[in-house]
Amino acid sequence: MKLKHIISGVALLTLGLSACSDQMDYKEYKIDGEDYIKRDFDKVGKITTHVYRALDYDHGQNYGGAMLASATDEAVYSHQGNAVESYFNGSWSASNANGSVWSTCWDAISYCNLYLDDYVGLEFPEHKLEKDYQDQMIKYNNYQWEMRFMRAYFYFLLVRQYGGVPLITNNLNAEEANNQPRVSADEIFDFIDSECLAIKDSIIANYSGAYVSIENESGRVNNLGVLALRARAALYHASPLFTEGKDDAEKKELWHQAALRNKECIDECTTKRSMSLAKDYSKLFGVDNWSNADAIKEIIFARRVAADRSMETRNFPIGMAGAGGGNCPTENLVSAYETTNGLAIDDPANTQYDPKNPYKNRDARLAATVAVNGEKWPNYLDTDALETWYGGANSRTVTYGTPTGYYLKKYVNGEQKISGTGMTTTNHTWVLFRLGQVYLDYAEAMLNYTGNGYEVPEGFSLSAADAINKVRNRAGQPNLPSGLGFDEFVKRYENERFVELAFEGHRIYDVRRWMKGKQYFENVKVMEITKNGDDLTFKTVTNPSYITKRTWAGDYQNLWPIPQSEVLKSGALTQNKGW
Amino acid sequence: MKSRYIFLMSLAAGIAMPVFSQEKADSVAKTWLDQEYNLGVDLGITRENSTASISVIRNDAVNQRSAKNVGNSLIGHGKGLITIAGNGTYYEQNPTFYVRGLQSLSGSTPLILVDGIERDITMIDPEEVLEVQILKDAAATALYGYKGADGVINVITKRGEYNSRTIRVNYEHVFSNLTNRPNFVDGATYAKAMNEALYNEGQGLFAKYSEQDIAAFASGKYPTLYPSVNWVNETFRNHASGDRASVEFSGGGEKFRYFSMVNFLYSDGFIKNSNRNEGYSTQDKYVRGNVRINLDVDLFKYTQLKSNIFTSIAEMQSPGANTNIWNTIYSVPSAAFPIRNENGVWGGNSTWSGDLNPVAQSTDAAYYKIFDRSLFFNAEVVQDLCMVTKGLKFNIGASYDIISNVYEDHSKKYNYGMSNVTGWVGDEPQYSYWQVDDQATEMGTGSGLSSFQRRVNAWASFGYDNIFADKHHVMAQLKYNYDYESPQGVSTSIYRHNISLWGQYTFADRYSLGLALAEMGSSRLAPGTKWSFSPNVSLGAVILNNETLPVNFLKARASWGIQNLDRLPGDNVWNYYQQAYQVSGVSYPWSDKYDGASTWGETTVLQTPTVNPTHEKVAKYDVGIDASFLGCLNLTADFFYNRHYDIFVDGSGAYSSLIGFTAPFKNQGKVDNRGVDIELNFNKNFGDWNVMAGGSFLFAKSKILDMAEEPKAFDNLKNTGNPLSSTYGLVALGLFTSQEEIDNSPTQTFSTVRPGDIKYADINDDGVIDANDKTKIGHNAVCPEIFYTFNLGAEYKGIGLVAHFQGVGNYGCNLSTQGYYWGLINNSSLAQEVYDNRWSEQNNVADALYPRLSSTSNANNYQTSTFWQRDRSYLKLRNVELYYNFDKNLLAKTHFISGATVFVRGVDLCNIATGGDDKLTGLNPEATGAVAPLSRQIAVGVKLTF
Repeated sequence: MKLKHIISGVALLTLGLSACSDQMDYKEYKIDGEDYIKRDFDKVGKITTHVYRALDYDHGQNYGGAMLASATDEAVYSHQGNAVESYFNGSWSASNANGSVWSTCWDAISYCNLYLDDYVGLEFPEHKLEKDYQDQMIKYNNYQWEMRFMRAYFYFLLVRQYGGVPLITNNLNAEEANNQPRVSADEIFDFIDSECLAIKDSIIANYSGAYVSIENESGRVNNLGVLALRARAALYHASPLFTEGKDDAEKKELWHQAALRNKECIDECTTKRSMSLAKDYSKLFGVDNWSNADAIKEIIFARRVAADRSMETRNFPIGMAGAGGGNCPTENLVSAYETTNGLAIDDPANTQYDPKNPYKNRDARLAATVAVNGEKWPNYLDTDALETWYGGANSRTVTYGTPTGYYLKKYVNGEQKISGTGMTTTNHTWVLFRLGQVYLDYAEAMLNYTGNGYEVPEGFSLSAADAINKVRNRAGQPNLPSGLGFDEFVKRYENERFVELAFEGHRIYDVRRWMKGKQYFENVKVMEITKNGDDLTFKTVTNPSYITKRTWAGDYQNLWPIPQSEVLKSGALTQNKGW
Repeated sequence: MKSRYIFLMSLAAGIAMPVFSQEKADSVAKTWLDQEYNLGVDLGITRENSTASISVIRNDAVNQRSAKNVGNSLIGHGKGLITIAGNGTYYEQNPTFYVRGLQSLSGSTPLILVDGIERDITMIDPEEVLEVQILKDAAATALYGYKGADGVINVITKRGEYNSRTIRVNYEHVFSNLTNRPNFVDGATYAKAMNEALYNEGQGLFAKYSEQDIAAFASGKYPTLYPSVNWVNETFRNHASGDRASVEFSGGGEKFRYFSMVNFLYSDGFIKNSNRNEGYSTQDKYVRGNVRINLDVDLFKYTQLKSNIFTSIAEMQSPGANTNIWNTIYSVPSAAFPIRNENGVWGGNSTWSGDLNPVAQSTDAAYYKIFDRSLFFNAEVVQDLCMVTKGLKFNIGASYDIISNVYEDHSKKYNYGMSNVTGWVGDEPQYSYWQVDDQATEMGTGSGLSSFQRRVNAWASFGYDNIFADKHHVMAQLKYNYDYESPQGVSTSIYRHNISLWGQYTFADRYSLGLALAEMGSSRLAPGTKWSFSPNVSLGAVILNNETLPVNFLKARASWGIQNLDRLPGDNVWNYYQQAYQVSGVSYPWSDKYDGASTWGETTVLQTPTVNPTHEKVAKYDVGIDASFLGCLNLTADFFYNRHYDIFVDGSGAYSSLIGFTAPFKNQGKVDNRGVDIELNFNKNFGDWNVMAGGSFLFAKSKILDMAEEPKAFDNLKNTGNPLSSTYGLVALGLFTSQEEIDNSPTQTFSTVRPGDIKYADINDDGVIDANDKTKIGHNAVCPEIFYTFNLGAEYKGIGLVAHFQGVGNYGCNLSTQGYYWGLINNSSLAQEVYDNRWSEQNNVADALYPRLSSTSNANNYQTSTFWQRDRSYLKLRNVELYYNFDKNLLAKTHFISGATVFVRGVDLCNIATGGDDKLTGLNPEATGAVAPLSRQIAVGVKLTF
């Protein structure tokens, strides 16, 4: 009996121990590794989803509703205390680095590097007998060019914000990541240029009909996107911020190269692809700008954002249910719009401008960008017109009401229902490159290359003025006057760019690469409207006490600080000057 | 009520019984030294011969809290065990335990055992328990594998005795009432406060409520238009009661011992109007019945069987869909809406949904039930193998436990509405009535499983115990443990194995050397790292052992061990050792339909895998003494030092973002925990007097040595070097009293600063106040560093008085209670205390207790800062009991009653905040959130032994 116990005990023990190995490996989870991904077209292709999703757009999502426009003279964010104020309230520092671009770009670049290292040249043998195999392979083989474009694009985002950064073109392991020194901005620009050159003829030029048996994908980047990136990178490369220390000949050559690359992009667009400026400027930012025949003539590459209503909830006027007030255009911007006779509103010779009715007879682009007092906005409301006069239903006397007297319209869908039953969402496509902007880039490069707004050098067909006039004429504005001196021309060009590209994410970088932060970013003008009976009085006020005071801390802020923790973690990164 | 009837009967019976004197106890020192230690070795280890650091909490000394379970019964008894009382409803109140303080970045949870097997103790009634052992040092926890490294709490249940028969009947009735009920402002004050907040923000004097409105709130003339509801008093009564009863049969024959107990627990809650519905009540209720049968059978001469069967069935009911009604009390101001409208519809409006109406929630939302069922079974056969060799034996056993919790949601919804004032015509307010009509539902029928758990343990061991040549005492054990747990859910099943060799050699009853070697495996860890080894060495030296000396006994102990923990890098992080990809549904709208490209999906690269992963380990050191003086005073004191290392930490602080993907976890964390742990016990008879006194003191402080922390630009931001879970925030300098002061101070960047806002110190000296000025501002709010207890008692001729006190020190909290300390904002309620002590233009002082009122939010003031940091130290009278033991000689004459005790006791009667200037006021230190206030109890009871 006792022996039996012992035997059974020992037997159980042995049994238990031998069962160990099986039990030790027991798991109810699975880990999908590289092999699992490589098996299918789809799963490999879905890597590109991640990279496309990393593309930038600015609906205010990075700063709690504030767009980067509110860090510039384009707008004031109506919720005082928002983090975007760090750009001018003194709290911007290496340890409060506004550095989301840094990590987003490196994340995207590492996906590109991973893809280019490990996912090029697959053949998907399991799918060979499927009838769409050929088309799938066309689509798959194009990914590598898309990923190289994307890598160059994210390097562009980095270089325009940080100057030189480490140039990483292969996938790193964790230890290597801490050991990457920065290279010069020139090297990054050269990398972008050579990459674009290398892929411009390989990448699919026109996705329409590129692969027949699978769904058409007009949202992917094509060769025009590559040329447009190359052109813009060249413009930045030639800009004063990135040419400090270079001699005049070098600077001139960089402007020349920028003009050439922008010309190539314009030519490819207009001759080979019969693109042109959209007739209706406002269509470029509407909910159907990805498909509208007029808009897609001009848009080269855009970030498509899944249908939502965040632009509307953040920027619709205070006073309507669910609205946030948001990014309110400044008087700086509004007064930059000329009257339709082509004269500035503060031009003493301008008889068209009526200070009692200041929004009449203005450049059509104003109405496409800014909602003003007395306007019905958003469109669908039965309620009365906007009241931004002191004490009005949408004015700054209401919490989060507009401090500037205006509300934003560009990219904001005036049909969106943002509260109650039947709330809607719509598509918002953020334009990254469009022909109108390429014309302006070209004009800037040409102006600086030739030192003259009207010269057409050998090998070119448009002067700076010609290019600018294309953009002006589309908006119904007359040509620039002839005979402007260089400085006067620069002023007109910068005004044109301010107006044409407002709220498209350019201003914060343009003013910095021109090194004109002190000139443009310290003073904010707002429109104070007072109502007396039916009588409105309009008064422009600079830097009123109810908005956060703006200070340009110095030109070291033309580049962002690298997040301090990144510098400290890495053995090789150095901080930007002045931070 | 039946239970009351039973109680009165028993009380009457008890009083009628004659009186008898009490037996004298064994020598205090002797009992203490003979205390058996239960450290996973079945060889009769006692305090006298052990080299381990173990505390024993004897249940008969501490079971004075009328607690619903043994966990709550242990609150405030110290001895190395820190107990943090839980809060919430009666059902939810369960304590959190720490053995010797916070231990590691990955957690500090001790292993909780019942009779040596990991089990939930929330169902175990204190009456079932013989004692609770706290296993603290390396020598004590060595055999518990991956789970025991942060301390072990072993609850040991009662067993029968040979040749005896005892029947015990206990009954208690418990009266509870709430302490620290929050006091909120009335309707008129709320309106004034809101106006003041808006005025502070630059609006007019009567921006929201006119003078007429405020007068209407104050007069109470229009209770449905201008409500002023004291939600606390309308929703809750101030008393509740409960009953506890148990019947125990224990004893045994020549070859058979048994302990069986049936016990019953009932508690109802504080809902005021719970009986407004026909057929059912909406009271908070908890009912539980337990049955335990512990058997010891001597099967054959050398073979013994032990088995325990425990089953428990409990039912909890709460009003509504198990909503936290106290939370709604903190959310809904007195002026929000009336309880009911004139038409009988519940109050509620678009700002404060009627679903928040606490009275409606507690009376007209029906109820929700949770049923908890547990079955714990274990059996063990002990075979003496003395026929093979003297002192050898073999144990084999297994256990099977199941716990399931099911819920039944009978809650319903109701319509609500409110009249809104549209204006005044003369002296009469005009209004329009608004109502949500389509919300009301019948009682719900939802039900389901909320949690389920299975656990299987099996073990087998050979033990050996022999003395050679009268002085070489050898004890050894080779043991195999198997542990399988499978709670509800995927990837929750864990297999663990533990093979251990334990031995102790003692020379001449004086010098001992202990050794425990364990090899353990866990299915949780990465392949190749599942098995690990744990060496533990301990020494003991009995320096004095002589009852005739003033120092009867003195032993010095020392132990060292390396132990392992199988904690994962994070919850359900299984793929830390291998690169994983995830294909998810999110997509990019490339297609011509802008539809997310054929609903394609996204492949993401998950976290970079850990290179050469290992698992967390701890090196445990302990030096201590056990001493006994004059036969009446026992002392145990230990110094301990634990170093956790190779803790999984997030590598994002170590690797630059250039890596792109999520940085890997690293086995880099390192945390020290050290301190001192003392217990003292005195017990002596002086004539007819018996006097007891005791106390314990624990100081345990942790220090993070390495957590792969992200390099910080300023030293004040670093967590490394500070204790675990420290509170970080801004340093407040008081309140601004003028605009000039604001203009002349460093810019505070959180929001527009106005007089009455909190002024912060520029800790990093950069001229700007922002998140970079945060620093360590106080002790952690998780586990106090100092935990002390003391108890006093005296008995004279059967009448006794016993009191237990407990206190904590180095314990902080940062006040953020919505609707209380952080009142008014986000449409929440406002505490009277905050209103009375706020900054205002009339009270323009820098040291006002609360900042200016704000209407919506105020990012500057509602930061974690020293302004809100409080010292949460307290001293509590945990329980005090007055009892009378009837004279046994007299009881003997009844021939059936052998013992009778009646008692009255108070639980958690008083609370003294012992902090300095920044001590906590207003709420109870153990319930500072928007939760149910704690209660205090008075219990009366009787214990009869037959």
